[in-house]
Amino acid sequence: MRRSLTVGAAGIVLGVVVTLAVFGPWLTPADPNDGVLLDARAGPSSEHWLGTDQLGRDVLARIVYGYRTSLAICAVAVAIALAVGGTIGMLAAYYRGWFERIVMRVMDVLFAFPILLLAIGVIAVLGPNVWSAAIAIAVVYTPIFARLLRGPALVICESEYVQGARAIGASDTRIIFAHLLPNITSVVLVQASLLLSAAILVEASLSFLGLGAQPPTPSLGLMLAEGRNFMLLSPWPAVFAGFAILSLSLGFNLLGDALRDALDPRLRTV
Amino acid sequence: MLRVVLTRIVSLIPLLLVATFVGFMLLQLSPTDPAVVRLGENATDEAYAAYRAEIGVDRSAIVQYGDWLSGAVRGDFGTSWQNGAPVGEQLQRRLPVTVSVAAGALLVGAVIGIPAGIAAGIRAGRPSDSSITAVASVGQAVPNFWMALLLVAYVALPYSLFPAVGYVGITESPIEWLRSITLPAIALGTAAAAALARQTRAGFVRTLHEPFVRTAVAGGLSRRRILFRTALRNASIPVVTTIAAQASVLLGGAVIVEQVFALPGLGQLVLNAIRNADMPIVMGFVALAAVMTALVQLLLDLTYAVLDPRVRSS
Repeated sequence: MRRSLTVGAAGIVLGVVVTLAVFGPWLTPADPNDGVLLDARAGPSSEHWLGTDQLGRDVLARIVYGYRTSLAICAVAVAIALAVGGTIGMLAAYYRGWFERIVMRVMDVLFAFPILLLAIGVIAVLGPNVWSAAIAIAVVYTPIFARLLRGPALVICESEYVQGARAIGASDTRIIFAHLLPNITSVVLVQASLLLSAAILVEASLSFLGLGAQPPTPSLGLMLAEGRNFMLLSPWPAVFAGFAILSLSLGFNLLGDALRDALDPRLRTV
Repeated sequence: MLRVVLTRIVSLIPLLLVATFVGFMLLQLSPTDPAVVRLGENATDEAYAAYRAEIGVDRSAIVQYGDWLSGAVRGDFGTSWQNGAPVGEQLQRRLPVTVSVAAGALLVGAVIGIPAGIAAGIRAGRPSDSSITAVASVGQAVPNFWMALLLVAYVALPYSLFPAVGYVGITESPIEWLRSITLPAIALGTAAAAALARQTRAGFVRTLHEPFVRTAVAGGLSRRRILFRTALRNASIPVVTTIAAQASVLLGGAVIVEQVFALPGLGQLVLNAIRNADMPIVMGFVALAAVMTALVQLLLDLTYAVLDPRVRSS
């Protein structure tokens, strides 16, 4: 019951969001950067379903394109973090010894920094733009993936079938790709989805601080930052942009829960 | 117990060294020139060179780090490159603001999240459990700065119960202090409450399936005693871990919430320092953050020892 509810909710929320992001340009013909100052700060109407912002730009169009920006940044960031952090975690579990001690201590140090501040520090070096935001998020999530995947990888490395493969002389590459990787896929999928949910919030925070996407690029965090000064006169851009961030993050959070329930039967009752 | 404390304090030394070294090297990569930040873009090359020599950035990175480290171990964190004020003094003045907001948020999270998680865990699988879990999922996805903006616009401005901006120290007026941190703590604590509710629920459900709970039921212990003595104690270990993890998250989150409520905390200071490559301020904050993280970890170890006798004996 609970499981089907989670799957249903994840499906609905992500379905709507992804449909808007992919088919948005056909659903809303308005240009996200094209504004008419005379129409500025208008409420929802048949012409502008979610109203207009302080420059008269269509809020729905900016949200649709903002979804694309957020999804692109976070997908790239989580993919890099997964590739680097996951590899580090798996190799640390497989080789153990000095390699594990050194790389995991480095991961611990990165983990000791508050996530948002480390991301801001990375952007201070790279300069504020969408790709810096993606790299900054990748840097902060790399130690998290390394830690999350090392534990399950350790259990698999100690299992009888891996010991057996070692005993019959299978190479390290074969053990890692044929035994370790397939058995860790469920953990990877669940964690990638949950961390994508958190990354959406970090990306929005960076854009809100002016450290992510730069104007006039449509970005959900930037919309909130721009709309905050007009909250009392015209709350539409900030309120709808906030809902958009919430729905995107919630969708991936629910997807992570649904995947965990489906892929790990031991956690189903929990 | 003493060994736990000593081990944690000793382990802080390499953490501090590596964290400050990594932070320092990251700053070296920054394209921002502190001389341009301080003197503006129209100064002469000689003036820039003289200022760089004055603050010592014309030396090698290793020498600069060694210089900073030798000062830091003596408690001298230098002076800000932006305004010349002592770093230690600035951090000391702003730390109570950030700690107040983060601790308030943690309190909001614990007061709402733990009872909600227990309520959901006891009624696992029932509609009330599904409702609490759904609200917690939404709570985790709410951007804290959006929550902060909504609280300013729809609570602080229309009603005069809480101020929309500013901070009053606890020593100046405890009531005004409480008023000034309430909304920032709620904005920041919502996601913490959601995370704690989910963890508490999961811990409770897991514990209620343990054989010792079945034994307690068979032994005739009352439901209240089983739930609140036996199960709660065992379910609290992952909850304590989540509280510790939230402490670091809240420290970072305070940066952004302080912006919305115009609070003179560490967030505003560090954000400006990072943007302007103000090394002494950033390094002072990195050291402070590492110490705070280690202190939270120490508290976590001590709490584990109190909750779980196996940890104490090992």
